Amino acid sequence: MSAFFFELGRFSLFFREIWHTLLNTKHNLRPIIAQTSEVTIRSLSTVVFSGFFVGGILVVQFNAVLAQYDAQIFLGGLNTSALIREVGPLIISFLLAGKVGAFTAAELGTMRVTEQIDAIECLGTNPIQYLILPRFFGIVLASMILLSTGLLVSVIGSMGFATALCGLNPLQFAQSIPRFTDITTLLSGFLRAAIYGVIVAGVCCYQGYTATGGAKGVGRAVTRAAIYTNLYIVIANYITGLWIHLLLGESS
Amino acid sequence: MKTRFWISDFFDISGGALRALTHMPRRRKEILSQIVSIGVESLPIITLATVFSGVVVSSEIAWHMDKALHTVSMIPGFTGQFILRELGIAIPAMLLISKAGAAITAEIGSMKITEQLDALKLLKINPKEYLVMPIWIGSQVALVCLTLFSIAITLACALGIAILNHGFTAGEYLNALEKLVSARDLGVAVIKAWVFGAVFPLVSCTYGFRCQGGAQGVGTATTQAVVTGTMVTIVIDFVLTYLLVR
Repeated sequence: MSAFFFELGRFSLFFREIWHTLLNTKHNLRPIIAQTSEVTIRSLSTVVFSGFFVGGILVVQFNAVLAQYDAQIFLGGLNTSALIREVGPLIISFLLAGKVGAFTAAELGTMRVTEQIDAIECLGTNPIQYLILPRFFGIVLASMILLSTGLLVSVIGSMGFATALCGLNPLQFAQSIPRFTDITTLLSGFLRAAIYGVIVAGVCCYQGYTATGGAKGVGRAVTRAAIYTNLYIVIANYITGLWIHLLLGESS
Repeated sequence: MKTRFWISDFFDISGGALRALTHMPRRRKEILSQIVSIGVESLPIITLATVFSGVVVSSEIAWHMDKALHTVSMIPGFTGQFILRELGIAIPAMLLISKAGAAITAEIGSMKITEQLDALKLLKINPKEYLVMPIWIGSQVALVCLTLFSIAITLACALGIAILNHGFTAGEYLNALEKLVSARDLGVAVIKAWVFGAVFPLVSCTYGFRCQGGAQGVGTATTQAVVTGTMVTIVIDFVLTYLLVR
């Protein structure tokens, strides 16, 4: 447990350093855009594929529950609301942590243990500005882009599954969507995706950047990155849940 | 050898694991140590994750119910069914894939690139039988136990939320739960967990045995194993949900 708090503290200090560098240095937008497009393209197929099937799972589950109360007209609304609010951001950030996060941690870790980061420092370049910032903002921006794509695919996919498996037509499915969702739902989904994206990017950059001990250390850093990312995302899910509920509870 | 398809390797390794089932009695100790390293060591992280997700999901479902049906009286049934049928199964499976699955791939992958697998072959031991079977059995047992454990924890959290936030008493909640949740749901949960536990170690082992090209190769194989394992689990989850949930 004390190891966990130790990690959390060092992680927060790393965040402060990123923030400091962001405010105090000049930036070039090009590397950030390059990273964003690379991350997006690399994970797009995974996100689309799993988004489609996650929509299907939710449709079947909600249908089984709602059919007991003859309330299948609510299927579309419940499904879309759950996808946008909770499941979409969560699944996409889990996948992003496994795919992009592990890759970033391994890349930065290898650079660290082969002393490439020290070489960059020797040449008078700030490694946080040069290496971390583009990756960090690349992952955060990519998580938003992937979320919007993934949500679109999974809502359309669940409409298809509802038509094929639950005997609803697409119009019936779409009819109840506005009852449960509005612009604040979408905003809360994107807010969550941004927060989870910051967590994925921060944890993975941190674990890679501070890797020690040769090739084995890189492997350890990658595993730790995956575990800590999932853990922090689940905790953040709880905190944002409380917070967004308060926000929405007052507005609706 | 290099161009062999992933799927043929996968079935090769599954066959190895099945053939080695006859060795189970005399390799009991290794199986038990795998259960400890896969299951028991994942217990803290899975407990923490399921506590948080239980709290979140039960308050989310309550909010949705209130909005759809203007009543919170159905919270026990809805949360109970959702936890038993989906949440308590999916969360431990996903976490175990990214924790234990990655560890399995990394272990076998580094044995491969340091030529320890070739050393085993020289000793006339088939590594696909020798290494995979204890992991395979161990993760099946571990995931089924972890799933039952996380269902219990998540239900307890949902009960706590219902009592604190929505004014149920424990007796009311459990009565309503009993009407809507049956032993069949628990059976479905066990079947799902068993299938996930049987599939993901084979995926991880396949990537481990296929990995090549030094330390970088192990890293790539680990990443791919986690992503493929998660996607395969989602697809299997969908199929099983469609077949078993009515």
